[in-house]
Amino acid sequence: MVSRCGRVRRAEPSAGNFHPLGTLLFTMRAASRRLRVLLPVMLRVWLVAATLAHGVRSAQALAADDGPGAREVGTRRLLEALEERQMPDVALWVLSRIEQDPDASPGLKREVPFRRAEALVATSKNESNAARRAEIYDQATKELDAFLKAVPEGEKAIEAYLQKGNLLVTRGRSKLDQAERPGEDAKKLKAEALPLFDAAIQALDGPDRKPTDEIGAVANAEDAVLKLLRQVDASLKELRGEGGEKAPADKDGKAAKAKKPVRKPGSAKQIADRETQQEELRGKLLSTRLLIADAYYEKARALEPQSEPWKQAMMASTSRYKELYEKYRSRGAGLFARYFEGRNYYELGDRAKALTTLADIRSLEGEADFVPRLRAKAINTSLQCWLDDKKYDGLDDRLLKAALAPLPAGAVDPDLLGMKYHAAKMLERRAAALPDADKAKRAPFLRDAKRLAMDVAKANKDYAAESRTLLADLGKQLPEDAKEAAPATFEIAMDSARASLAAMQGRQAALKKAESDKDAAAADAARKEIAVERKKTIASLRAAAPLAGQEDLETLNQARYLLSYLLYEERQLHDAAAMGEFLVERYPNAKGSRQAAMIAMASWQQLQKQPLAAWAEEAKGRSIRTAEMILRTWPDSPEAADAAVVAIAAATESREPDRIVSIVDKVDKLPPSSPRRADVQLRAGLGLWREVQEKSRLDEASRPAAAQLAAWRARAAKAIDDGLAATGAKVALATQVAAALARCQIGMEDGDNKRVAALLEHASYGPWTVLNGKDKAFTHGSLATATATAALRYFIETQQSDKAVLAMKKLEELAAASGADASAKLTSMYQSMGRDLQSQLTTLASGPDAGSPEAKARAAAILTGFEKFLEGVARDPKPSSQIWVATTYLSLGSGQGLSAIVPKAKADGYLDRATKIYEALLAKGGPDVAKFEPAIRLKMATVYRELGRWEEAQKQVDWILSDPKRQNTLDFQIQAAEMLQEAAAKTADKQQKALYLGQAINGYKRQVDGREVWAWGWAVLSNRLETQAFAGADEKALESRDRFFAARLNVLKCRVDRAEAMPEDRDKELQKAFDYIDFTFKTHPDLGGAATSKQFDKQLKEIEKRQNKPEQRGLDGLRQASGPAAVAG
Amino acid sequence: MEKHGATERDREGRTNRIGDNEVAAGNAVEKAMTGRRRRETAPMRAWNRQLESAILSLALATLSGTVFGQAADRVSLLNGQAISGRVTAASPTVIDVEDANGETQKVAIDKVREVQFGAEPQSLRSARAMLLRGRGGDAREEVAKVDAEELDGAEPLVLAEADFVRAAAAGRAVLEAGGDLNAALKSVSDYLAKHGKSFHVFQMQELLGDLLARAGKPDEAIAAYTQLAKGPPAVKVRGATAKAALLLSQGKVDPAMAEYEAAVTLAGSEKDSLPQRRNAELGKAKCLSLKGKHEPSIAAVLQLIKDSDPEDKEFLSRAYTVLGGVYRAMGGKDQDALISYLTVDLVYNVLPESHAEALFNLGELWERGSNPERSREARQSLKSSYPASQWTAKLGNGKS
Repeated sequence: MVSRCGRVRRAEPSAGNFHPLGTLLFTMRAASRRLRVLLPVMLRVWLVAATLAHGVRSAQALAADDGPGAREVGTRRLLEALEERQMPDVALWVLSRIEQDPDASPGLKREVPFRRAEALVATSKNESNAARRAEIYDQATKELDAFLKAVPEGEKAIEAYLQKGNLLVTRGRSKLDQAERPGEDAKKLKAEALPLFDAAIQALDGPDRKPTDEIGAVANAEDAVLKLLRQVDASLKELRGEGGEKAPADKDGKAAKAKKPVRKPGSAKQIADRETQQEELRGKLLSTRLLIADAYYEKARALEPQSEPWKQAMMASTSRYKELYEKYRSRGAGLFARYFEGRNYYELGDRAKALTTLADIRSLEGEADFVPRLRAKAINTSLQCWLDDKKYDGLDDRLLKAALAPLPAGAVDPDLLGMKYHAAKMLERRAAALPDADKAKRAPFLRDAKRLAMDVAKANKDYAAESRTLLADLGKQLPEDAKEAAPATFEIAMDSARASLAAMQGRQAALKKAESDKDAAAADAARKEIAVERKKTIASLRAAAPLAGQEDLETLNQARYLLSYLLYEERQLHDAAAMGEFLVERYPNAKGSRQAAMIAMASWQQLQKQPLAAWAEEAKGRSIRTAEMILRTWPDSPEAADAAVVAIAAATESREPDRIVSIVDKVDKLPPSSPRRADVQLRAGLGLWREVQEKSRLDEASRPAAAQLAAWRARAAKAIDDGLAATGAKVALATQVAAALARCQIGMEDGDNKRVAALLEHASYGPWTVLNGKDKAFTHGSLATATATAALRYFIETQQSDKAVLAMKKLEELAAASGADASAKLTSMYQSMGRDLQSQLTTLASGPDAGSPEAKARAAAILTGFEKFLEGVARDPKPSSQIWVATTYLSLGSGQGLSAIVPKAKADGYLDRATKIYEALLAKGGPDVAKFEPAIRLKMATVYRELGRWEEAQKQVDWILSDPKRQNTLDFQIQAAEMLQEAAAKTADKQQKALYLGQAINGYKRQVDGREVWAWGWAVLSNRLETQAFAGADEKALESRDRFFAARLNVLKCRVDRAEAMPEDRDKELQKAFDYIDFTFKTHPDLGGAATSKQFDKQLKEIEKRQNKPEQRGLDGLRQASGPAAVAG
Repeated sequence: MEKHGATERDREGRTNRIGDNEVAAGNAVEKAMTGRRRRETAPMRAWNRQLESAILSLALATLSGTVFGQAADRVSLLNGQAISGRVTAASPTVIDVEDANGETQKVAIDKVREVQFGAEPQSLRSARAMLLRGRGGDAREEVAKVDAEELDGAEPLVLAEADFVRAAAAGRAVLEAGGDLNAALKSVSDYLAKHGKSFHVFQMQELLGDLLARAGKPDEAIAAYTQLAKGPPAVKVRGATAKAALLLSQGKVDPAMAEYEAAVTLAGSEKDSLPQRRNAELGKAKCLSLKGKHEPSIAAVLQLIKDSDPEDKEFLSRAYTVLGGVYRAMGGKDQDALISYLTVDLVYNVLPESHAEALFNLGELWERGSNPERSREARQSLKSSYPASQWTAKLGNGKS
């Protein structure tokens, strides 16, 4: 059942709408703007005049009272101008400077809180986020309280009280409006609204007192006005010479005549000034009391209808309106009070009294100023009374004429629409009530009803849905906009768009219902209708844009936002992105621009999925650009964090650590409360750390400087520390665990064992903790493997043997769980740990402390720890243990750049030890060893490579590749190609060198022991990797991408070396190399990111140099040859 | 860095102004007279002259309340007062005014804001009013309306005044909106050659200097400004300030600073030189900033603003413009710079050059502050309000 309170339609809630009366007292401009929607017109006219007069006077008074200097005068004038120009953000800057300025006058400083409240409220206009708007209002209320504490009385104090009351009413009303929306917790919201209205009433309403009662300390608007008004009245009396002593009584005791007032000489101007002030204050008193009555009414809306408190609030409101009407019945404000009084009777259920009260207003004649709208309000409420009473003949010709009048241009009063709708309803009811004998009389009623309902439906605001239903009942639907001629004005086009939008929303509701009813046919039909209406809305919005004038800018920008959304829904992604970008670039402060920017970013993300590589690349670039624009334009918004996630992902994917740093620097400036801040920091830290790891493994020529790597590592560590420290942040546990693991790895490199211990076994996100938990997301898969590997290394290093054994077992379990490839998997895990160990030792060997006694001592300690542990493990005869020990020895012995801390003799010793273990294992044989045999032979090949024993190495590789299944294992093929390339490098014989290189490029096939051995070579390898490498942006795809480009680079290196080894085919080989880069560039223009791109560029320039080209242009030459788009990229 | 010295000087806007009411009154008289002139015939002309004179006297009476005969001359002073009578003689430094009693009063040129001749044609008077309001182009059009026959039999002082307004209007118009610089230079030089003893001589030397600076002849401009050293104290200060501004525009910060300091010293505590002294102090503050001493520069400008008359809008316009520039130069003070330039744009937008500079900077600062709407608005305002300004030209050179 609809409550009575809900039946008098309120103005649509909108961001930043402010209570009409209080708004007026803020600024003329702001007031007039908002009043169009909310405030009765007459009251507006009347109050505007008062405010204007006050504004002028107070500015003059301020200038005269304080005798301010040029700086203060300039500042005041600037603040006024900023208010006029609606630049509250700048006003806030100015105010903060006034506060800090020791030369600013105390008077100006005192005004700061009040002015700041004004500015804050003005900034809320463009704030679409309800929570943030509420925060702004809170802050504004605090500022007003601060001001009132310092200045409890006087004209400014009156404004502040009124403003405070207005703010509170607005906030309460906003909650009530929210409560009316479907799906909201109405009870809770109303409970939250109630104290706001009480506080508003407290700020506005003074106690009942007689005119002779003294007003002590002022604590509300009414007292503030009354006290000042009394002072002005007294002053006027004095100036006019009134109220002096009476003449003494004559001797007969007859009352003496009062002395004729004698004006003080020269007081005419003072009297005129006081009279003006008196008039203004009376106006303020009236507006205050209207606000109080309104606050009580709003309070009633928050209460249970018909309850005792509800009745009390309604009566308090009604009696105040009544009193105001009786006092000011000849003034516009009095007439408005009368209307509200009547409306309240209707709400209270006393329809007879309501109709009698409203008769005064319904009968108002004329079309001037406020009259039509006030009359419409009264007619609307009266119609509701008659409808409730089923008295369908209340609508006489005069009222019908008023209802049929065309809607005015611009914002339409809800009561005007209500009047039309209720009149239509009334006519329809009246027609229906006619007996069949009078059937012919129905037509004119129905015709008028349709016309009225059509007006409301087209306006597409209040009562639009009801009117459409009524129209359907009346047997007619709205005309198809699409069939209409092109709109003549912006307003018409926007009306059309609104109508289509409303229809679309209606169909969406139908779709939702059909889906919930599991009615597939109805759902399909609704979907089709939604698409039709969406297209119509888009067409109307597009038609509207060129018709907009300067004054339509705000609406136009909202239309653009809407258009970007609809285009996105329509999958017109390029158009959606263009529209969103246009808004963010040209009108970033317009309402909806932030959301439009997000739509643009989302559109570009969607467009990255298109099949054409170059277009997808372009979309990726645009997505990043939009994300960065969002970060730059709204650095402290929730959208900035979302944008940062996109930007980080893109920067990670494109392998640009500096870009990651730049983004995370921006993210650090987000408020700590920003929901995704921690998430972005952790992702950034992870991305950076991954880059450090990858780039550390590059050959020396390509590897960034050690200081650069150290800086990235430090930044990664900080980002992760910050992200993990953000308590209460909603970050996926997987991200936290991965970040904690990365931080452990960094910590291990830095020797920060204390931190590693704390993180590794952290109660909630510790990687070791979750690895030993029950969640399969952490006990299986790559994260689990990486955790076990890192943990093993850490436990060995810190000589926690028991835990190290546990970690080893975990690794074995994880390898076993991978199925058929268990042996290879386990080997790979050991290899990974060996690499990490190498990396740690490399850092010690090349980092900032390289060569220092401390670094050497630490390295020695690590090696000793490992040797001790390895020899312990080596006593275990299990093949897996033996393989692990051998593989780790191999890693330590073959690490490049470790010579500073692993002397050559020691390294060779490690390799020998590894060889012996592998050979012993093969010699031992048996089923346990057999399953590890490929891995063992692969490792042996590696050892022989390290020792330069190529033929032995080749034998091992051929054995591995003689099995068709193993031929498809990437690691084996990579090993084979690497070995051939390395063999070529170490071979002086040019013919043999050319042979090795040819095989390294294109592979080979040969028969060994009756089985075909097939090595792919780098070229086939890269082709096989290509599909997976560009299938997505996940870790697996990124890894494949790295390998793909590495393979291509190796093809080039081999080709160039081969050219030198084959003088007769030199030019041909070089041209092949050139063409290979050209082809790779055309298919994958980003060439794997900045670092690999640099390597391709270097390689290409080298080729061009060898080809004796006069100018080595490298990739620039290819870009220019590809056209402007490639150059821009 | 600006190319020509005149620009910097323009910003200091040394032109004296007359009030709006005076212009309005003048325009009313002009309207009455022009309407009649179209219909008058030769025999009527003498009668009409008398009528014009009567209307003019009436207008003057409303302005000063002092009517002296039918065609009294009027010397308006910088302090707001006026002396009516007949200008009997004038030299570069003194004007002789004979009152109703036949007594001659000598008025020092540095105290004079404007001299109106009772017998001068209305268009001449209107043109001069426009000139004083910094509307050189309008003045040039207005003075062109003066018929030769209107000056038939006019006294040499009035004829010289017509020459002055023509030459000065030509010069100012070119400085304001560009045009034939050589022709303007010739007009001003010719005037100085012909009327070397005029009471406008220092004003015209200064204008000559401005034009030479604009023409890229700084040495000759300096020489022209140096001529001002022969004038009374306030004129000397103007000369030194003008030289300093020119040097500053050439990037010669130290010499400019020295000139500004000399101007301040010259001005001393002389009341008549106070406005020039304040301009020189503002120039000094700018130099300090250019030398990297931003904090003392800001302190000096703020002190100058504090000590100003709140209604001295021209000086405040210049001062806030300088302040904005200092904040920009400091770096990291974009908000303060924006506030300063907005104060010029929204409060003290009376000097075209300062206003144009402020709008230009607002355009750049809003762009940098991710507020393209405001940036566009500022640039649009600059283009539409000051199409010929060098700041508008800079927009064309930049990406905007």
